[in-house]
Amino acid sequence: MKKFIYILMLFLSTNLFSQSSESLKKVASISARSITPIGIFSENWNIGGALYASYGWIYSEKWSLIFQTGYNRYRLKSASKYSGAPKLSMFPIQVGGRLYFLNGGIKPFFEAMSGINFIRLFYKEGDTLVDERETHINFQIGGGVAFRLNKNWGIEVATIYNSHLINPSIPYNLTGFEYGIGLNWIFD
Amino acid sequence: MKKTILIFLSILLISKSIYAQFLYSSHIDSLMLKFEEVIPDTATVNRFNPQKPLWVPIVEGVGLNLALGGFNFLMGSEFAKIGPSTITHNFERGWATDADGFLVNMFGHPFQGSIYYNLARSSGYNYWISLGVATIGSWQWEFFMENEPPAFNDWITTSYGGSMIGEVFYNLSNLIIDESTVGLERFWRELGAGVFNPGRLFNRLISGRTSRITNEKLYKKEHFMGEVAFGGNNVADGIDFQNGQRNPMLTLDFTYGRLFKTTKTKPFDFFRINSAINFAKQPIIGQLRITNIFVAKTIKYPNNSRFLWGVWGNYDYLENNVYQIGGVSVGLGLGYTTPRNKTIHFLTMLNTGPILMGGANSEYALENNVQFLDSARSYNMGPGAMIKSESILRFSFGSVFLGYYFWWIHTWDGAQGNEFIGMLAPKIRFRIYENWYLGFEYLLYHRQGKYDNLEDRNYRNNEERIFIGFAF
Repeated sequence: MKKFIYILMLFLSTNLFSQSSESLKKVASISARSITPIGIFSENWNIGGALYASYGWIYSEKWSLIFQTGYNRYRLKSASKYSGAPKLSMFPIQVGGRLYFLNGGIKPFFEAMSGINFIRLFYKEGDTLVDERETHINFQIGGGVAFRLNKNWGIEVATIYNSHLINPSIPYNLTGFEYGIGLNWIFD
Repeated sequence: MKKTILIFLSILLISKSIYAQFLYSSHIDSLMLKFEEVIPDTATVNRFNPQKPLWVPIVEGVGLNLALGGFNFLMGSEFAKIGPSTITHNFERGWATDADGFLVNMFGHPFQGSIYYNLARSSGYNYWISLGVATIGSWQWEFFMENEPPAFNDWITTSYGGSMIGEVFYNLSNLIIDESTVGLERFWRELGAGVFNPGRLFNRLISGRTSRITNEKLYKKEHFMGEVAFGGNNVADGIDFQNGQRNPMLTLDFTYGRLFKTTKTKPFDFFRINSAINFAKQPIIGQLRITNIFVAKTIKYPNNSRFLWGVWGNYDYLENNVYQIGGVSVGLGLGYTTPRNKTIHFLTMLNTGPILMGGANSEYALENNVQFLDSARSYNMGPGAMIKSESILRFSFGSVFLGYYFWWIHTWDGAQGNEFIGMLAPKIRFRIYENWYLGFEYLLYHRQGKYDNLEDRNYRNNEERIFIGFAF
């Protein structure tokens, strides 16, 4: 399964790159986000934090292809079923795209990303330490606004909805909303 | 059923003035013809059909969802009883899979997606942006318009599958629309183009283009060819040639664009449709397969033979009483053709890549309820991979074709395991008079179901077809 996802990513990226011809811009970004779990996931886990780094190509000022990676970590709720200083962290690798609705200094955008989350859940069950590691496909969809500060620098704010795909075996589906701010470097 | 017949009739009847140019074509193949392609001037198109803001097709897609949802609600559909609590629950629950029937999931949803797609395409956007709009439309439907958990399989087939069917419909409607015509002919052209492309018809109606009269060439028309065939098939319940269910059927094979052109390619500059309608004893839609190129590069050799490689897409829907196979895929494609001449011509293609979402029937599927739903599918569903190989040898008197297709589908939700399905399809055609052909086709279908906790299954089935076809 993973191999095919990698192959698909490669095909898509190869395909999209070869379509590039007009007004191509490259953008590198870092962003920090606060994550609010919802649904079953929120029964045990409280607001988390995420740090992302991404690299993308903007085509024709209208849409972009983005590769993104980062680190997510959640805090435990006091009434959680877990004990022993549990930790839940994720390492996402994602690819996706954006549609920009306007040209110019202020660019509202719609964004959809998907990829793989490498998840680690560490907790204590009685006297036993449990270290669960799982891999699931992730999905994000949302929107935001990118502001161009000057020729090379920009910032953006975004609200993103998260969901894992297809009934993960860990007893939560990791649904939630991310709110964040990012700093963009646009290459000449 | 009616809609499908109308699609065929629209293509056959309304575009007759176009394909009439091929009636007296070379007997070897329409590949030899010089069709008067129309590549519109961009400035003229922008003047007559300026691009609308992107929010317009997105809002239109949401409006379509509200209208469809309202209709479903009025018809008493349980899944359409929505409200703030169901929307909230959908966001909290996140993606799942659904238990809709094979026809709905593998054909109905892509058709719905083709409407979103063409709302954007007919607003002046290219394939990729229109795919994005279809993705948004489908996502909004899944999270807001049903009280069942949002189905990830629907989202894939509606958006990507919808873009494939949508772009095919867009190009077919380009062949039919002619804004220089008036009166009844114009009416039938607009209606014919709109029957299978309602998104575009809607935009043409609200923008006044259905009644606009101009001689400007505004819509791309590429070389095309095809064959309509009527005949019968016998689907055996095994590899017995004699015992089986006999069924009259109508098929349409259609090829649009030039596969081995050396100029720059855009998505769907070339595509093929293979379709079949059954009239008795078998599911009505027996087959709808689309193969297209997204991007390709052709190498021309000194002897005029050509080699091609690129990224191809596939939409597959095959169903009869023995098997169901469906899926959308993207992958690498290779092709080779000898120089074209009137006596003999050889062409071969190989196409392989991942299936983003597919389905295949399994007797175990019904025993596995879909999570969070109190129902099951008749087929296993999930991602996988496919390989397609096709070769054709054309003579002045007909052609010999050999195709082999293989699908692997890994179950995401259903009877856990893997489905391996293959289909061998040799076919021979003889020209009997002018553009009329007599053909025979044999299909050997084999399926191996390998399951995690159940007994594995192996099947083989024969299908024979005989038909009379008209090549255009």
